[in-house]
Amino acid sequence: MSQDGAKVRQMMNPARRVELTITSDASSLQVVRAALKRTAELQGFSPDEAHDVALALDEALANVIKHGYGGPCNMPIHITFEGVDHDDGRPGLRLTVRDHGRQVDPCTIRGRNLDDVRPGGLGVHIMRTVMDEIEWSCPTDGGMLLRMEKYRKAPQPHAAAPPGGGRNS
Amino acid sequence: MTLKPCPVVKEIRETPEAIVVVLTGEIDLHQSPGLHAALVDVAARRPRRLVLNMTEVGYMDSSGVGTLVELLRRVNSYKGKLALVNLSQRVRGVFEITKLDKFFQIHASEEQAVQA
Amino acid sequence: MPLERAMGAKAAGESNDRRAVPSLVDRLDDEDAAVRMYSILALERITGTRLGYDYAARREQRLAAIRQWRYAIRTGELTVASSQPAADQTRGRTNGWEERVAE
Repeated sequence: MSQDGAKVRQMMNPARRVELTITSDASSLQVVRAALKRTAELQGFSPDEAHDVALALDEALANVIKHGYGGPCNMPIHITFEGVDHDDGRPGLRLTVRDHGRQVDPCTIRGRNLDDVRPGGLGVHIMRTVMDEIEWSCPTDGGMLLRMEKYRKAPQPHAAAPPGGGRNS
Repeated sequence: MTLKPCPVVKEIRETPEAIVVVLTGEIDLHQSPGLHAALVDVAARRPRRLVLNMTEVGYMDSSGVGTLVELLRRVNSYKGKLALVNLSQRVRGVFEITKLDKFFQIHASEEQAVQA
Repeated sequence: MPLERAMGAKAAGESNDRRAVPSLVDRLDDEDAAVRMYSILALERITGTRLGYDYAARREQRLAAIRQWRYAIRTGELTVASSQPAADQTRGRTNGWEERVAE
């Protein structure tokens, strides 16, 4: 019971935010995944959901490392995790990834509905499959900003967790 | 046989039926290139049957799946057989999201893999 | 083999090969769902859009979207390497995730 109470207090804390800066070196990925998995579990996601969220971020970071910077392993990537609430009250997690590589779509496509313009590829497909919301934008001082969000299925923190067979994928 | 140091390759075993490669750990963008090189070495010996034991693989992303797909294509090219053994539900999920699961022989154990 | 067609599509997308657009559009009608998925992912990477195509939709819907693709290629709305007009230079330079790599 007291554990449930502690969980409710954690989820109602609006200030929980983690910021990480890594270099564009793939050896950093496992550190970020571990931190995100833990954060997601503290936010009430199941271990399977936390794994999926870490996978989505891992794919996003791999894209920045491979394509955003295209080689150098000493370029900065800024990552944030933040507990958020959906409009319908479901708690969730917002991830952002900010890099300082060159800007691409959707920033420079003209004459096209920007909602239709997306980067593609397999990593993006995985990110879209796992996450509830995903959006790229182009900060005025360069680079790209990616925002992704995932919300918990259960509407209330004290709802009974589904039996272990449930797989959120 | 030549064992290249690759942290996710725990062991390579040769039996009359197959070469078995036991993998371990998390296979991501950092590990995939080394794994690719190690698997290319094994496939170069053109084993009739190549078995990847995935029991200890707790995580794999699209770079890892891509590495295994490249191995599959090599093994297919000389008409060998590749089997993946004991994928965790999470790792299998990545194959399913990338729609590549159906291209692989997936078994629950090495015994089943060598009998197939 | 479907795996070869799927991986061929994936490679075309990763190398941002605009010349592959017409054959990728042909693969949108492949009987294998994985081939169709990798083909539309590659087209999205190269051109920035899916033009409403859904690889899992029923064939009639897929054929309708494929007609959209063929129309867009014919009218030049999509940048295809052999006929890249000067006015589209900006779009061509940065179209697709791969363009961020300086070649």
